[in-house]
Amino acid sequence: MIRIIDRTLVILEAFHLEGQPLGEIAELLCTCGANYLEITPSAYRQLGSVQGAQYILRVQSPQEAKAYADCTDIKRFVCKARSDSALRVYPEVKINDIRDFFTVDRFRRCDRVRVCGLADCVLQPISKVFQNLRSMFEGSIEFAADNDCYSATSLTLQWAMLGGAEVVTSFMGMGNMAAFEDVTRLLYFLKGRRSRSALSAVQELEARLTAMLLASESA
Amino acid sequence: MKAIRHITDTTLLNFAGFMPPKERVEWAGMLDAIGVHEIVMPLCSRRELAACAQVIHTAKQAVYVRMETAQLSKALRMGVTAVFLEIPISYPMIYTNYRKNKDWARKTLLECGELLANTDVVTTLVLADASRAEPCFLESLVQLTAGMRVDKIVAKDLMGIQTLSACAELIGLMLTFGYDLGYEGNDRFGLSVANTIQALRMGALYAGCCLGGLGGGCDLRRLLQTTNRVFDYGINRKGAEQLDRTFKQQYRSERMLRRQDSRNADSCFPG
Repeated sequence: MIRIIDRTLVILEAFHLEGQPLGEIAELLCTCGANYLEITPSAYRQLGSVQGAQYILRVQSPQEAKAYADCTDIKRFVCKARSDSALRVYPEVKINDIRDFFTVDRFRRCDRVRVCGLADCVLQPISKVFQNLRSMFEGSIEFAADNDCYSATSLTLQWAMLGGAEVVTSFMGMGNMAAFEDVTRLLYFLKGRRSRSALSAVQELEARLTAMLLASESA
Repeated sequence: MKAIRHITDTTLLNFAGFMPPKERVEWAGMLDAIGVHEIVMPLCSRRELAACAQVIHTAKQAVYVRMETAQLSKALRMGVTAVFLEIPISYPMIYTNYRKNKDWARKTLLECGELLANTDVVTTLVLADASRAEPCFLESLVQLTAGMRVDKIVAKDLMGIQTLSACAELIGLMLTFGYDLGYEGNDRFGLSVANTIQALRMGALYAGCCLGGLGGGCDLRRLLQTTNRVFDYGINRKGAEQLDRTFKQQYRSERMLRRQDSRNADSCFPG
């Protein structure tokens, strides 16, 4: 089963939106097919409860996770280049170049790792790159390709098609990532993931977010 | 040393409905100036083709023709020197788009071959919707062209849902035909740049691109920016970026409309 982790709420924080629209977007994202929503602690506090939403909290240090240990809607925590399995904190590792693999050896034994970067993968034999990636980490991998080579959606789709279980996206590819709406649609067409009603929700979300961002920009 | 690849520009073709003939001639000249290898145009008037030929100095000028004998005859009468002959290669394309059947496709391809046989026209076969084609049918149609003077074959993805591995598989199959290959992706879901790179890596020599990713094709600027250190396209990159900016400014509204239309066209998919 392919799980989509959506980072839109983290990116939207820069737009200083109020709690209400954030809640609506979170609900729509869940309807569209996002399994987990990534969120920052401040946005999480502001958001309140959203029905059916499961969060991945982005923390600055593993110790920050202690304060949220009892929150049942937080599935786990992600932290840049640091991990703590007791606190359910897993690392985010950036691999800018395919030759960087040896630098991430210290995360080999983690239960879970998020791999981002990987933009130039598209210039290499892709199955070999993914094979290398899988052999580098013993735990499960969350795939979060950057869009530097305009190939993030393509790489994300390929990862999912080759058996990858978890991918990270953001709406419209904001924050230089794979586009959530494209990945959702492609997985529906190619793998039959989710129903057609989810696609209708994607259209609604597109319209809602575009209007919201345009309003925020003009303000 | 960088591998040599060529750019086939389809901007004028994709944007045919929005661009007046006079502007088309101007853009043809500008595309030629940045160094694209080939400029594909729609089948337009003899006067317009002649005007374009005057401003195009180094690039090749080709006319896109659907696989219909009437249209091909018209193009030949107009004295074109190169044609891009669209061959519907997938069943949905033949049955839904052309509203014909496989036998018609075989028969018409042979007829087109006969029309082209006694001419000096450089022919490029465009396998439209190659991403959804049955490999056996694709192979059988290409075999029918054995008697034709084919310059190259271009695989065209119409749906924009081709994965990297599917693209590699398709190009791998087409390399066995022994022709020079080209690839033209579709950017409906943002996959065209990656797929075009994949095709070029696998051995395709020609990349179908358009300015600003307009008309759903691979964005020329993005392709150049991404693969500049791997492939040599013989293109003035700065000039291409400038041209891309100018084009986007001029046709921004049409571009937005087209993107909207393609996103709303989910109903064309089965399921």
